[in-house]
Amino acid sequence: MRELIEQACQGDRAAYEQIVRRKVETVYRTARAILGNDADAEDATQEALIGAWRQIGSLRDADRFDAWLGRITVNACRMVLRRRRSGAVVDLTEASATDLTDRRTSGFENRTVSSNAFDRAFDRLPVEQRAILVLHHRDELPVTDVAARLGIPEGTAKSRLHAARNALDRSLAREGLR
Amino acid sequence: MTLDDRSLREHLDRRATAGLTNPDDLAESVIAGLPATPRVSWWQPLVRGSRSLGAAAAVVAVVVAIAVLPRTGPGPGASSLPTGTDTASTPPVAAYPADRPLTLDELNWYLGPGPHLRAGAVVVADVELSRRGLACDDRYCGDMEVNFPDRTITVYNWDNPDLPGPYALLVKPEGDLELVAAVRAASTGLAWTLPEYLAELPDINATDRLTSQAFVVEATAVRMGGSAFCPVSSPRATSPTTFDVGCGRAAWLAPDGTVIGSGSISAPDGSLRIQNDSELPWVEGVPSLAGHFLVRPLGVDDCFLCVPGATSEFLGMLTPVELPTPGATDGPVPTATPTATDPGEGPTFTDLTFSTNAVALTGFETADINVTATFEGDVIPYGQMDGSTTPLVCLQKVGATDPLDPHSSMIARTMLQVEGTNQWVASFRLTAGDSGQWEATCLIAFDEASRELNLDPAHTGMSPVLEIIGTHAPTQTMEFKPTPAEIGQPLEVFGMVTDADTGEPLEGVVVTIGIDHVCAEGGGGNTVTTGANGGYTYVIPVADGSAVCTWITDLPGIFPGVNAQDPIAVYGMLFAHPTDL
Repeated sequence: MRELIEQACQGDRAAYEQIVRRKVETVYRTARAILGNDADAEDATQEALIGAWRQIGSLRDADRFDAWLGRITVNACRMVLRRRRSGAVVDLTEASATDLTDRRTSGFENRTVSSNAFDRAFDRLPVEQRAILVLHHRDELPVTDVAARLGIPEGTAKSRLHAARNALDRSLAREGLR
Repeated sequence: MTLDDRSLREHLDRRATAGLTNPDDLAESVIAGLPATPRVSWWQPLVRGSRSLGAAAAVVAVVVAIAVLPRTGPGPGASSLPTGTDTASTPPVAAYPADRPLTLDELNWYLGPGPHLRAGAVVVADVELSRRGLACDDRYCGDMEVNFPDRTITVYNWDNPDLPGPYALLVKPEGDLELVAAVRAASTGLAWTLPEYLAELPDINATDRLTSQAFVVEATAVRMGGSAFCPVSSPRATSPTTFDVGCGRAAWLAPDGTVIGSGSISAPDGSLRIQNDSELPWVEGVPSLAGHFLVRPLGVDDCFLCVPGATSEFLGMLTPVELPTPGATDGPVPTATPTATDPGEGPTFTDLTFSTNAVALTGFETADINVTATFEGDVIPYGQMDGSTTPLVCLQKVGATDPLDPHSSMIARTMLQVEGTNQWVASFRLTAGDSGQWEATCLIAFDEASRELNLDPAHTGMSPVLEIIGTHAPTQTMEFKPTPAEIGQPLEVFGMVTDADTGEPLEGVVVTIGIDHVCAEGGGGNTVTTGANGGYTYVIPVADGSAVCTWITDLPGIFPGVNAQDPIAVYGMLFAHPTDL
């Protein structure tokens, strides 16, 4: 992989195509977790991998490719989300309405977070908070790596992770789940 | 409910694994969209090459050295790129700003880790300005941004931004950018020679009168030896095409350093009239200044010392940019770059400290935190149009985003001078409800000459961090009956005050209810006390559609405005427009 990256850094498109084939699913999964829908995740994946190719000349250390691509992916998610928000409307789907009904009738103590409720709560978070939760809790990256992916100091990553969990809890509370 | 890590992971996995039945299809789709070559900045291959080419680096060094030199060749649009034997085998390298704007990467490199250190710089860059929702800081609003691979920088735009780039950008003291204008490039490069521009002006004025595009003109600025008498001007309101050049030293852009003698009122041959006393970095005793100037055509009916059809609005002088030389792998640490639009010797601050960096609080306990700034310059108390007084400092909770949280995530306070020193202090009384990390995110000050310091210390890495570890914080709710409120009818405001950790009701807590402007400007409100169940109720006799706020402080009845001299503990605060619910 390192060799491919170094070749790509020299402008070798064929090498980068191989990198795309190997990384596309990882990038998509991260974007899908952050953005929550297929179309946006595909857009972000396209944007991230094409953007990475355009910027590959700025990659100075092939060993840091994953962290570098991860940061570009989060940025791509941010851009997709902003574009989407510009014309977004809140959609109270039938499914979510049902979910609300279920929540009111179920017992508080035994209540679990439904998929719809979680997604609504998660999607209310800013993309930075979604990203840090995905990188740490889904991709299982240690805080040090999360910090590298997001380009922030480790201490900041810790505090942001803490804040993101709190924000998620508060957002879940708005779903009546606290 | 707090999700455990396993449940959180399961939900995130569910989100991540949805869709994408065939990754290969997506990969092929990405590959189909890949450009043939990466968009490599002109200097990047040189930098990489210099590591391995050894002796060839010397040749590259010559190329780059030439590339960063100002264009000196004469004649309209003539390329001054060297074609000598040293570079015969090397592709010609376009020079900024004569031949091309900065690329996205070059702009990112130039701005460096501390863009605020480039404050006042004016550059032209070929970047994409992305729209976003209107975002406002404490003074300005901007809805554009530049997206770099590793960061995003806000662009404040005053004019119509819907013109294609490249764009002239001014670096603001906070490190953000201001869109000065879209730039129309010359046919042979970016910059227009003065004769080229003057030749084009009639067409511009005829076909694109009062264009909002600006032009980069390579020229020499000259000015008259003494102040000019300016008898003629027409207000823009009655004649929008009229340009009032104002009084002061008359200034022109000339093809060369023509010396204008004291008392002379003649425009230099082939010159372009710009505003009197244009804010150029003149050097006393030196009557001319060569460089690249950003100008915008103006239709002129009548102006003093104007050459018909040869007058333009001066927008700024481009800041010289020294792009990386071979072997440079990192951008240099930016240093302050005085330019024509540099705010100059305004106040600066040298130190910002918190009286403590960590406090544990529970229940209704409070801690007074002093934020001290040490300024250089004659900072004075200065009343602002919004009623606040500067110097002003803001504390903001890191990562706080929930607008429904009754615990404020940002507090601003006026600073008071420590007598006989250049230190100014603001005191913040924080509570358990303020649990989290706090940073100073604004520092605004003016000096006697009304020059401004306005920056975000946290954004520039100059703020300490304060950690509040809060437990059992009081928290409150606010509801209305009826919902929405009926104007002219009574409106019941009610809610609960509870322990945020346990949910236990808190009895005997005084809640203040404010209406309308009190919720923004400060002032008095009506107080009620929570009962045994933690509940409170207040009835507004006649609802009028105004905003309603409720708050809990250690000084009931008084809304803690920005200018509060004594610190007030705010345990919670909520706002709502009851007619909008």
